[in-house]
Amino acid sequence: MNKRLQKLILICITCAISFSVFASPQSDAQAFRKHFTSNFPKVAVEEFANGVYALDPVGRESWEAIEEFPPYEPYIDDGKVMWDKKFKNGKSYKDCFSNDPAIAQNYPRWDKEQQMVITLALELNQCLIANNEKPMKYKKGSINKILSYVAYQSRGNKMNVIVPKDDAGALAAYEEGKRFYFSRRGQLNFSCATCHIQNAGKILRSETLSTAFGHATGFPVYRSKWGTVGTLHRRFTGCNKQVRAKPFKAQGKEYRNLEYFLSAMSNGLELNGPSTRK
Amino acid sequence: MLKNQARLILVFMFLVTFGCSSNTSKEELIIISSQLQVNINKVKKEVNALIIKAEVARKKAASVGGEWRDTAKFIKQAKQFQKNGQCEKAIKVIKKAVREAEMGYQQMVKQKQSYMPGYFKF
Repeated sequence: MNKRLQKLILICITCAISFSVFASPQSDAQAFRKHFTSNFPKVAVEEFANGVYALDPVGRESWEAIEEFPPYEPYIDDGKVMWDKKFKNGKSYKDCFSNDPAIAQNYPRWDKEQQMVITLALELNQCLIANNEKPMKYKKGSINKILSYVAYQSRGNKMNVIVPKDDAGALAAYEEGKRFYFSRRGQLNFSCATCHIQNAGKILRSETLSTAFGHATGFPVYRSKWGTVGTLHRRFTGCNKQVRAKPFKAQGKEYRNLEYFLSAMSNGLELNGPSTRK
Repeated sequence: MLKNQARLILVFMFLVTFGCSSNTSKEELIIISSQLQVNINKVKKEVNALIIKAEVARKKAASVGGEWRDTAKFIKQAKQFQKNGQCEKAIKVIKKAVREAEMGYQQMVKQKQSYMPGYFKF
């Protein structure tokens, strides 16, 4: 075979590999959905939003009992108070967002001006800072109240995270999030995908591993382990520590991009936060 | 080990000052004592060098997002052991930190080259 032909074949193979890694977010999401629906054919698509309780019937029974008197309810009530309360300058969150708090399905979003992924938590704090109020902490505390309220108001809306096709920055952030998700890390050498794609549905120690599809729909969550409501970035921190990797900063670039990717993969599923988990 | 050697030096110093009557044995004691001091200094230098090495390696791993959870903790432990004169323990722990940091860096560099698993096709 002559050298020119060999080079051409090599270029074609390289392009094919590149395309398989850098497919569009929309085709990624379709493939993602297909992977889980075909691996778990007995699970209805909308059920994936319920996480491990779509797979574990025993866990589901206790979860349904908890949901009769959900422990996150006081957080929703407190969150409403926060949403309605005016800042010292007379303005409120409604001046930053809108009167309608049912906005969670649009987050995270790509901000063209700031050239970064903006999560709901980050934007809430940006609103506070812009109005000379003290920002909230990102893992524990009052942020979970207002996030619970917004999540509850957004229930039933379908996840709608947009990755603009014509924005190289947004695509790069998405790809970084995707890379993070699939990269092995920590002493245990696990990626997020190791548990939640490769071994979803299997049992690790005493727990069933939940599917990545539907992961982002239910946050913030009341976790029995925490005894309180916590954010998605708090969970990212815990997961990274569990594989013995040093966690990244909550609402730092790494976790925002990761949330961007993970949420985009759940596009089309109904939001069901806040929720309860073990 | 280092504390024991320090104790031995003190004992020898005491014997040199108040102990054996013959001059020859006093000289021998002085030589042994200074040799022990040299050993102690050598070990301290080794621990210091390893701590620096571990910090450099940890920062290198962190620069690619590959730092492991416990590396900084091991370095802190080693510094505490060093402060307490427990140099053997310090060396044991700091070597762990160095190895973790090196592996964390290699792991993330390798992941950057190829991260998509074979079991999942987009």
